[in-house]
Amino acid sequence: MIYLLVILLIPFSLWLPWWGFAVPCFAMGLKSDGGRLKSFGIGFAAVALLWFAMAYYLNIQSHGLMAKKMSDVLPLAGFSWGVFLLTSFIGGVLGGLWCLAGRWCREVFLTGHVKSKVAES
Amino acid sequence: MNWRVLLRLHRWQYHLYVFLLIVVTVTLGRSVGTAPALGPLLSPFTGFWQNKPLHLIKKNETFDWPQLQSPVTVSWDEFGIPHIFAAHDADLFFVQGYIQARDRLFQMDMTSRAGSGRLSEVIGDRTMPVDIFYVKVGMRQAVERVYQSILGDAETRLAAESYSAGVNHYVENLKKADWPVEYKLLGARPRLWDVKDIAAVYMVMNFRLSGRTYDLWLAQHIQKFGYEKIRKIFPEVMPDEYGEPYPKGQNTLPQRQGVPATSGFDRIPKFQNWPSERYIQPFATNGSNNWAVASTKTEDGHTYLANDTHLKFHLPAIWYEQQLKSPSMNVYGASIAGTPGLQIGFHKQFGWGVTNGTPDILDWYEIEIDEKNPKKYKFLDQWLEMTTTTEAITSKSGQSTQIELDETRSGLVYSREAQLALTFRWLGATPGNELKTFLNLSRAKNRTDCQKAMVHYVAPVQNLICADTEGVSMHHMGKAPKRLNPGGAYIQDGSKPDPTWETLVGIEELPKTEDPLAGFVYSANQLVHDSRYRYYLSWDYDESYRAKRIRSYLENLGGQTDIIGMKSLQTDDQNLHAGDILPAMISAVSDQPDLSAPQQQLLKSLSEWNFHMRADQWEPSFFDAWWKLFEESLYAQELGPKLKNAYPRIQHTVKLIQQGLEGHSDRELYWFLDLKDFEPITSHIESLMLMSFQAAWKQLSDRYGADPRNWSWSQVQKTSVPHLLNLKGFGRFDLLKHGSRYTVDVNNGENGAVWRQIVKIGPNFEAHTNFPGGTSGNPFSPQYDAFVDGWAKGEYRKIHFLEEPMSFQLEDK
Repeated sequence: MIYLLVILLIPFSLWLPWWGFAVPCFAMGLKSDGGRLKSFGIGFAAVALLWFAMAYYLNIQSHGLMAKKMSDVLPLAGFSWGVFLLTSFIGGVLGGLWCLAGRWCREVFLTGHVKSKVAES
Repeated sequence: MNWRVLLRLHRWQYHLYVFLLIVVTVTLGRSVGTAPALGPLLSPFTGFWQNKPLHLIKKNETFDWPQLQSPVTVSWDEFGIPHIFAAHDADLFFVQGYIQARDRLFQMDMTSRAGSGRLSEVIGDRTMPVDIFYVKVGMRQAVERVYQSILGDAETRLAAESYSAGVNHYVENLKKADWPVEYKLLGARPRLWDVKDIAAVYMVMNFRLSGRTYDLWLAQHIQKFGYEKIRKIFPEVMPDEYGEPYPKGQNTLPQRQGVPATSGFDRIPKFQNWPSERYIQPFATNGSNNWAVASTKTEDGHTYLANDTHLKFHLPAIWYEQQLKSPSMNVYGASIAGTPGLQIGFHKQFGWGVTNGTPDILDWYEIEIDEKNPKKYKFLDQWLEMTTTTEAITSKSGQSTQIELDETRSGLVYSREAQLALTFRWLGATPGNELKTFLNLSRAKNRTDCQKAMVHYVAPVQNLICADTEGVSMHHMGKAPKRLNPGGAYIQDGSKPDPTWETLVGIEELPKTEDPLAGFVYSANQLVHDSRYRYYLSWDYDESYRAKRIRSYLENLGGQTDIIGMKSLQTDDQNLHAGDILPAMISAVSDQPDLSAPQQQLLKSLSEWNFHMRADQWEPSFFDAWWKLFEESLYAQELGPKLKNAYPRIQHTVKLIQQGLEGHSDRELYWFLDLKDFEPITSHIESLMLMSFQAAWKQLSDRYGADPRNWSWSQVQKTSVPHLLNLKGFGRFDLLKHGSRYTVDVNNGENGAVWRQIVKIGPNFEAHTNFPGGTSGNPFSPQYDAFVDGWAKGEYRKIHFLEEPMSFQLEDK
């Protein structure tokens, strides 16, 4: 699931503004069979992974200067890895939350069509 | 209650969640206050991760756009310097604009905005004071005038329009992900370039070099103490010994008849509401050195030309280095990013160099205004109406300010109070077509062309060297008010016309020398004429320590001029000021009983110092601290702290002190000292020297420890090259750099040689350059600050001067 999402993220990130990744995350959440935690996890992992990998690759192209210098510009005390962590974290959290939004959307609007894990009381 | 029922999401909770999530997402996509928009900034698809450096992947480029008449090739050498080859001038400037935009877009934008008072639109409230100041001094109107003069001449119009079109060709095709990182951090966007922006960049440099308002500070002293006392320590006519006139050549300068009149200027200004913005302060370290040795004097028969310009250190570097070749020119040199052509350049048969001339082209006046109608002022006994223009300044935050510019017959109003106003006139506000001069210099083949190029130039006045294979000359290039007397040093009576501004002194009458007998020319912002010269250009030049050092070095070289000698002089850190005064200071305190053993030891070592301001030595730090404290102890009581008040020129202080120590008896001359009734001047000065010695010792020990070996000069005077926006991650700090305020290699930690060139003109042509920066303005590029370390060490690059495009083996890291 995660890898499918990662692949889907790419065209949406390239052709939409920076928040474009929210769309496939939401869609993945709609389709998700798992619970809420799992949905969040899929979104988080996919975006964090993709953003980290891209950032890492792009950073190499500048011989490490991007992460190093931005860690001084942002309040990260010169800790280059902090820039990667922040990047993955922000992207991951947003991705996870949007995936969760998709999962909840289905739960709220489409419960009739899906086997719900929560027993009706 | 079944907790699972509670956990089941209700619709309204879901809607709230999505709403909040949208709010969070949108907020992360906007900049909040000074914090950047984190979402787009950190995304590897749109953020700073996308600002990959260009210079790692560039090789020779050939541009074949429809806008060009024929293809243009750019050869990038191993230093990352571009060499542009075009078959038409318009194409040359187009591509120059394109690559400068590609490398330095943000910097160009900021420079232009500084000149138009529009920084706050992009940076925010914190630059409002700067914008307000530049609008108040009439920069927008001055920019408009330069703009019109550029458009009014076919040659400059072509260059400026082609250049702007080239910049825009880059900007128009720029994707959001490729915006320079500073825009991403500021939450701002790049904009299109216009000829007016070129005018604004020119005006920024103009003001930086000629917007000296020291007259205001002097006026405040005169109000307090009167002319008699002030003249003693601020001589209106700078004594010849403080200057270095151009070496004598065939030219005779217009001579004055009689002694300059000083009476008639005992008019004490009444104004009280003195402006105090820091931009009003004199820009002391914006100057430069240049010199040239004629081929007739050198053993190898080549003419040597050297120029290093002194401005504030920052990244990206002010100067952009390149070679430009078209049918009308083949020239290498430096241009201010954002302008077509070059401002400093050379080729195999000719070169030119500039230093700031510093004549006073900004005069202040006092006018009477009508208390009940502040737009009415008195002129020739009539009440006239000011002409008001309103300018708006807006900030990124939405805050906006209106500035009213009031024009009078005596200039622009700057400061007001109930019944009086201060106005000023600045010649830089009515410039000529300086761009045309620089374009003509870029095309010049020899000194004749060089001299012809000068006619379009008005401000700021420069000491221009023209050097070709035959010889050298130097001209005070520009115009200045035609003063026979020292009036321009004071606040003058604005109720009547000032005849000195009605006709101006031009190149024909300003100082110059062609084919000097000494075989060389030189300048370092010093007084360039003696007291027999007819006109009064300024009361306030830079100290001539650097100029004297350059002259004596060139005299000693004789014909043995070579590249190494030129480099050695350009990076020379001998402090003539220390040589002048330190021995007297040391002997004044040496016999004092209050000194501790370590202090006596220090004095002994100090007396063996060779006056070189080396980064790794402690002697420069001690001398610097001792002198500063001593100087302050002389004047602070009467004149106030040096930071906020005019102090006498250091050469004059040194002379006063030397005379005082020798037993000069005129107590009126030393009115500023707190002398007791029969106290000899000598012992008073000696006790001040001792006091400041102790204070210097304490200051350095407290800060750096008791061992003088911890007081290294580069520790005490930290040299930094900060980023334009002062972002710590993008600057370079704590460089190991020699030099101080008065050494040839000027360095006060923040200002110094931002461009260095040494050119050997003739058949065995070679040229060496360096500057504290790099080609690229992208902080993530190795080309951003590639030259900083070498420059700090005093190293140079031997440049490539190409006749046709060439492929270079790019540096592989």
